[in-house]
Amino acid sequence: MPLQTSDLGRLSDPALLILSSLADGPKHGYAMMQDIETFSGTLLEPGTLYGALARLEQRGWIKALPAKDRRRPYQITGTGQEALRQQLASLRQVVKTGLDRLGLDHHHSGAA
Amino acid sequence: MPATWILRLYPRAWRERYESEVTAVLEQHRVTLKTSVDLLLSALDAQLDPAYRGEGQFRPMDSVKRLRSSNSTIFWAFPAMMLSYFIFLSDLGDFLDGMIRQGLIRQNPVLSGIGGAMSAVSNIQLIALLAAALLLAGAVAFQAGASSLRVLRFVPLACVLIPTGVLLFFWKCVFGFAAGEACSGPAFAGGWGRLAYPPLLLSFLVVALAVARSQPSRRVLKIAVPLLGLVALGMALQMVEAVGWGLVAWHVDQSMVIQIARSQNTKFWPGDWHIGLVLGLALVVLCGGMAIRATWRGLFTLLATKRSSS
Repeated sequence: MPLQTSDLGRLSDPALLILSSLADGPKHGYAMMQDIETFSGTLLEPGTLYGALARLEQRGWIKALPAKDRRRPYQITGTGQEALRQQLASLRQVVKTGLDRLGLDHHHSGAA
Repeated sequence: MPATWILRLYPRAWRERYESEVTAVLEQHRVTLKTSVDLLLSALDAQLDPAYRGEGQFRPMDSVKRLRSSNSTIFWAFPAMMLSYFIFLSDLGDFLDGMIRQGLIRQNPVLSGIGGAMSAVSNIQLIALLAAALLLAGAVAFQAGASSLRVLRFVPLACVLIPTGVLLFFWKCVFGFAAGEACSGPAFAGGWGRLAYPPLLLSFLVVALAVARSQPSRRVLKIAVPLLGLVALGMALQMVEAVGWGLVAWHVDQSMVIQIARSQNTKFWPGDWHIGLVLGLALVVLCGGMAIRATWRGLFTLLATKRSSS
């Protein structure tokens, strides 16, 4: 199975955000929504969130942990981490190219 | 529509797995119109996802059943809609034909254009319905396993062919564009040709029954879906048209509308003409709604089986 989220169609960006959110530990649905809004400024609606969660679970990139009340935490798997790594590497290349072409690479590196 | 109701549109397997979690999230989330639209889109997405169709849910046999049900529904919904219209609303239609078409519509290019377009829609709709009826009645007649009594297999085909022949014999215009006295309105055939309409409507009911009770091949059922989709689309437009022209008539001459509705509907419903009028409109909308739902189911089944096989 490919380790790219691009074939998830409209859910590819939410899938990347979810994997990034779970990279630092398990979270349930609402906690993910809040975390994603905090680090990316994107508010995922519940329909999109669970649409992407379902696809990621089917692929084995995340797994569901036992539910507490009606909240079920999700955890990123080893395959999910690898997929996230590959996606971020490819995004980093895009970011680097964009910054280079805008002549912002120096300032950006300096700031970092 | 409350957001939690939308969850009922998701596939059963999806709901068993995620409904309680999403409900919990929705209780904490500020639900807006965007949330509802997002849930609707995601429900459609989940419906089309093979993983959430329970194992075997879209087996070929089930898809045949769905297609049969979808096709036969339109064959009874169309005559039912026409009969409801003629029983409860036809005098109002005549009033519109006589008064509005002559006066208001001809002076107004937009209304005139809508009238012309609806004439074409009616004719396309009837052609599509006839084509589908002949296709399915032919399949019932000639395909194996249709009926245990061999002669009965040919009844639907005969029921469609005879009135269709009469209609074609008196067919004086195509799409209302040709010159001729019978082509002023949405008339497929004028004069004596109109005598073919009642038996034709009845023949559609026979086809509906035949499709529901026999076993036309999946291929034939699939071919009929887009044809009947055109019919359902026409019915939806006619539903909107009926309400639209009703509003125009009401705007033009309210007292005349009341008078006509009273004179027509007290014949069937002595005492209160409102009931007949409301019942007529309700039946028209119900039949149109059933046809649209059936088309949706048919198209969805086609799409779903295509995805399953790919």
